[in-house]
Amino acid sequence: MACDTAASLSDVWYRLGFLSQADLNAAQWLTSGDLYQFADEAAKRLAWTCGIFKVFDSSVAIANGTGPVTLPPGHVFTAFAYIDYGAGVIQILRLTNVEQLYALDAGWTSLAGSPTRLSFDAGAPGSGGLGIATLYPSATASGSLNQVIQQTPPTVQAGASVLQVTPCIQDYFTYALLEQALAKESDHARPEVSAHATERMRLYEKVFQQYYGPGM
Amino acid sequence: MNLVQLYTTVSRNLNEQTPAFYPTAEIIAAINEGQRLFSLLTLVLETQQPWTITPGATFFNLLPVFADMIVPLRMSDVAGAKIRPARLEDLTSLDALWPAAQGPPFRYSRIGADLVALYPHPIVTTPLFVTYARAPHALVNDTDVPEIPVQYHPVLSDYAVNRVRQVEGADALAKTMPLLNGFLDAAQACGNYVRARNRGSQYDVQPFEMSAFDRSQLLKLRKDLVPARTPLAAVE
Repeated sequence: MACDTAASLSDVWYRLGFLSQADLNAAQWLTSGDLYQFADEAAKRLAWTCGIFKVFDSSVAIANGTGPVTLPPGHVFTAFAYIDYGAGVIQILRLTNVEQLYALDAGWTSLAGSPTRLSFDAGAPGSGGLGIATLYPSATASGSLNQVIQQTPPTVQAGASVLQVTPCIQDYFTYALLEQALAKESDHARPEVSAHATERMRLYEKVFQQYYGPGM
Repeated sequence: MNLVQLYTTVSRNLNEQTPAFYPTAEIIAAINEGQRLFSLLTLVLETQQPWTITPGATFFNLLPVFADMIVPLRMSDVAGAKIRPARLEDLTSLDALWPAAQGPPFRYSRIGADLVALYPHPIVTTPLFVTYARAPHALVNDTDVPEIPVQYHPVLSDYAVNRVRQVEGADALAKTMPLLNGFLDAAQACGNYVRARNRGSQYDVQPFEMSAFDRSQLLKLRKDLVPARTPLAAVE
């Protein structure tokens, strides 16, 4: 009973002015592919506005010499991180920005040891820093970087439309489809209903923020 | 009210003796949407289910176990003792090695839509009880009755009228906004009741604070956004 955004597609055809799902499929100004695209954009928007898509991730391995690590795909932010060295040995990492690293240790880029901090804006020296986190000090032992992260869900598309969230969120996606479809420049545009759908989404987002935590 | 009574009421409120322009399937979908939103806003539907924890992990996903869960309200062990909620920061302050701590859990942290951390995490298979707010079952058959309290059944038909008018938009939709407002008022009243009850029951999550939500933009259509469709009179 998880949320299947495909249900939102069958929920909107009438409100988009079609006579049936088949009528929608035959339409020129809007396709099912467009609607899946709108659902995918809504899922990604939700990943930034509400802390709803939090997962436990242990996919990042560290080894002797590891400083910068590549974050998992779709990473939005990290809520909690620790290194698991195995056999019950762990080290919780303090999330620290690069300014604080410089204040702490002017030579932080070259220090090696047991990592105690994780920085998301330090990046690899010479890189832009996006999608990269940096351990301080650089690791001298191998282990696993375990994180609780907010992650954008996999691309919503035909055949891959199920999201691991409560089924009540289906209606958020329904209004996202209406918002986008009715705002398209066409003979079928209803911008006032599109704006109303935006307000409906805002209500849902406020609810999700209270229940599941804020986003960025 | 059962489903047939509800959708008949909606049809008549839409001035249709028999569904024609507004199909019954669309009205039923609108009633179901109203019930889902009401349940989401108020957390009025709750259930308690056993949950058997397999040892060896600190973090668990609840939705694969409780597919209709909105949010967990309370956890307890088999003896009924409450497992207290905590933030991840609280657990770190409590124990710098908490992800590795083992034993019978007495704290849990709720993270996102369904992720839960247990502290300590059990080393043997451990049964717990989870009380959670759940989504309603969809109304399908004519004799199905909404699960929300009976005094709020009429606002489901109000909600449905507002929703099916979205197909027309403009003034037709604007005129039904008081019905949506009535629905939200009912959700606020029910949410206040559930909140008081949840506090008494020492639940860990309260319903959405409707009173803090600014509905003013939701309940009016923007006048500057006129429908782009050509009016029928102009076509003729």
